[in-house]
Amino acid sequence: MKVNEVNLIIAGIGGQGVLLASEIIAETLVRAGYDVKMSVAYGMAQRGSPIVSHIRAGKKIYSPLISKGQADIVIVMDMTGTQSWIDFLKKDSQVFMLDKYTFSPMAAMVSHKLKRKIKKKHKEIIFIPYDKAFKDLKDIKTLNVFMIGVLSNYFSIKKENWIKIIRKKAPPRIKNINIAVFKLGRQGRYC
Amino acid sequence: MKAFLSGNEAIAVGAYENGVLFAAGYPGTPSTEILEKIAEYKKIDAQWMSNEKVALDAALGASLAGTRSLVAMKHVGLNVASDTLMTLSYTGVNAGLVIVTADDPGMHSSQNEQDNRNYAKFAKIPLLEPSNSQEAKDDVKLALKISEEFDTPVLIRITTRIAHSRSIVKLSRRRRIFSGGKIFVRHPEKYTMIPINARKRHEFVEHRLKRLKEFSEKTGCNKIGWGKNDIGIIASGVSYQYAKEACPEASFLKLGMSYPLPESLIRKFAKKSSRLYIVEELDPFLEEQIKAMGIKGKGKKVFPLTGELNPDLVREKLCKKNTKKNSGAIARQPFLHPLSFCAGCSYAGLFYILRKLKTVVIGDIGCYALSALPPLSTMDTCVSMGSSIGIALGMGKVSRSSFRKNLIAVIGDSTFIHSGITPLISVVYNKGTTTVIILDNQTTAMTGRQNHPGTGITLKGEKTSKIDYKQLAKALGIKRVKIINCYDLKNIKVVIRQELLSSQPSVLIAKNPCLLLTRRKKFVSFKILDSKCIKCRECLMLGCPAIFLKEHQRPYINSQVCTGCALCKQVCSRNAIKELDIEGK
Repeated sequence: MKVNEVNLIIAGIGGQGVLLASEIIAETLVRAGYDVKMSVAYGMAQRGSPIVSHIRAGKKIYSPLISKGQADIVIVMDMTGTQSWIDFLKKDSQVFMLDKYTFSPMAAMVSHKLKRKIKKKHKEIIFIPYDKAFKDLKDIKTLNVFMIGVLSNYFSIKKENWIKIIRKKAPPRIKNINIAVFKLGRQGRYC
Repeated sequence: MKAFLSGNEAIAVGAYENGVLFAAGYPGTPSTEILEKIAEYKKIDAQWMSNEKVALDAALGASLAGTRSLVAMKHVGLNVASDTLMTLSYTGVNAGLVIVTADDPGMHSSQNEQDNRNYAKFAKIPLLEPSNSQEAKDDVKLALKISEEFDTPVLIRITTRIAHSRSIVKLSRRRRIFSGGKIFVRHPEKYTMIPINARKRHEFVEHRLKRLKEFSEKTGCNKIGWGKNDIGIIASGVSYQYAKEACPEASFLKLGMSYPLPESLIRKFAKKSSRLYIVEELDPFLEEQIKAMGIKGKGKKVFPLTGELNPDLVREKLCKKNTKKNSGAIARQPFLHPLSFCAGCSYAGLFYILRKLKTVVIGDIGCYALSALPPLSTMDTCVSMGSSIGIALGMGKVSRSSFRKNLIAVIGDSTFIHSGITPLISVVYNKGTTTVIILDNQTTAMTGRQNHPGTGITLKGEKTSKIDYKQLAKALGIKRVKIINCYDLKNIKVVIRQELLSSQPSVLIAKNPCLLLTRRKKFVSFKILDSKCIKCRECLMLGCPAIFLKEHQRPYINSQVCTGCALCKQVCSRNAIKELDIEGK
C-alpha cells in the first residue's frame, strides 16, 4: 500500500496485546519514513474491557485521533467494543476480522448481529478463518502478532523491517514464537 | 536519533537530557509512566512519595540544594500539593524546578475533570502546554531555563491525549549541568515566608509576572502561522492538533506558553482575523483572558465546557461542513463488558458481604470504587484521596446510633498512606466510633501496580522498610485492630458485624495481595453443575468476570478466566459449584 495517509484502528480487549501490536505497527511505519501518531486511552480498561487504538501515518500528521468515517484499515481482535469504532468505518475500509473466534463470552453474544451490521455497510471484510489459523498458532497469546503478519501484506515494507521491530518489542521469552507467528500471518493463506 | 515516544516518556527523556537529577511523584493516571520511565535512568534519583505534597516538598528541597528537579502528578494530585505550590511561587527556586500536571478531560480514569491551567494563574507561575511528544520533551528544557532565569517553579500541563499518545521525537545528547555556585545559601528573606518577608516576595512575584509576559511575547513556542482564509484560531495543547486537522487552511496562533499570555501577539493576530475562534478543552482559560483584552472571539459559545474535544467536533463547529450527523464527543460506549473486579479479586468477596450486611459504605479512590457498579452496587460515596475516614467520622457524629452502627469506611493501602492516617488520628482524638477497613493488597493496583511505603520496595526497586498497619493503628490509639482474610466469607461477616456494633473505633486490615501480583500459575478452576443449579443467580452477584449467563438463563463459569478463588462456591446455597478435576471436566 503506497498512499499519502493511512488510518488504522486496532480493536480488542485488555489482555490481548492491542497496545503491543499497535506499538510494533506504528514503530515499523516510523522506520519506513512516515510521520506517525498513535493514541490509546487506557486507565481503567485493564482487565477484559474493550480497548481501541488509533494509528495514523502520513507525510504530516496532526491529530492523534482519527476522524469519523476515515479509517482505512480496521483490525478486530474482539467484537466487544464494536460501538467505539464502527463510526470510523468508511465504504471501502479494509476490515480484518476473525471468523469464529471471540475472546470474551460477552462478545460471542453480540457478534452475530454486529457482523451483519458491518457487512451491510462495508463489503471489504476479510474474515480470517480462525479455526484453521488457531491450529498453527498454538498459543492464543500470539494472536496480536499473527494479525500484524496478516496486515503486513498491505504495506510495501520489507519483511525484515517488521521482524526487526518485533524482535525489539516482543517479550524476550517468546520472541522466536512471535516471529514464527508473524511469518504465518504474512504467508497470506488465511485471507 | 529518532524515537517513537508517548508524551510521558518524552518528558522523562527531557528530564534526563537536561540534567534533572531528582524526580518525585505519586502514581496517578495518566501521569504514572513519567516517573516509571525516569526511574530507568541510573543518574536520576527518582522516588514515589507518600503523596503529591511530599513529592513537591522534596523536589523543592532538591532545588534549594542546587539540583534540577521534576515532580509529576495527575491533576487532582496538584490539589494536594497546592499548599506548597502557592508559597513556592513566592520563595522561588535555586536550581530549576518543573511541575508536570497530567489532566484528564473526559475522565478516562478520574473523579473530576478540573482544568489545572487555572493553577498557573492562581499561583502566578508560567505555564507550558505541549501538543505532541516532541514538544513535551522540548518543554522540559524550556521550563528549566525559565525556572532558573526567572526564579520560579514552572507548570507543564499535559492531558491524557498527550500523555498516552505516541509520536516521533528527536533525541539529543545529555547535557551536563554544572550546579557549581548553586549550592544552598542561607537566604531567609527569600526562603522563610513569615509575613515580613512574604510581603516583599509578593511584590517580587508581581514583577516577575510582568517580565514573564515580555518573555511570552518573544518565545518561539508562541507562534503565528498565517493561513489562506479569514478564520483565525487560537489554540494550545492537543486542541491545536485537532483544529489544525479540521481546518488546515485557517490562520493559527499556537500558544505553547499559555500563561502569562503574549498580549501584543494576540492583538496582532486578532487584527488580521475577521473570524476569531479560541479552541480549548474544558474551561475558557484562554478565552476569558483574551476577552478581557477587549478582543472579540468565539470560544465556549460553540465548544463544550465538558469532556474531550476531537477532530470531528472541532470541524463541525469551525467549518460547519460535517458529513455525519452526530459527530459530537466520541460517545462513551455503553460497556458491553462492564467494568468489574478482576476474576478472583478478594474485594469482590468483601463487598458482597458488605452488601449483605446492608452497610453504608464510605469509599475512597482505588480499584474498590468499582464496587459502586452493579451487581455489587455497594459503595455509597467516593470523593477524594483519604476522604472516606473523615466523611465516616462526620456522618457518624450527627447520626442516630442505628445508622451509625451501619457505617463503614473502606480505604486502600496506598490511599491510606497518601492521606488516611491524619483522619484516623482525628477519629481517635474526637472519640469517633468509625470502623475502617484498610484493603492491604500490597500495591497501588489501580494505576498499574506501583510500589509504596507499605510494600517495602522503592521505585528504583531497592528494598526498604515496610509499614506495619497493625502497629501503626495501635500507636495512633485504636484498640480494636484485626487482620481479616477476604476469601473467608463466613468469618469476615462475623467480624465486620461485631466491629460495627462496637462503640469504639476499629481498624480491620484485609491482607490479601492483588491477584495480579501473585498470579498463581497452578490453580483449579470451578464449574457449575447444571443438575444442582436452581438458577438463583446468587453467584452472579459477585460481579466476577468469569461467571456468565448462557442460554436458558443458566450461569456458567469460563474456565479460561476463572482463577479458582472459590468465592462463588461459598456463595452458592445449593453446592452446585465444584472444582474441575484434573482432566478439566
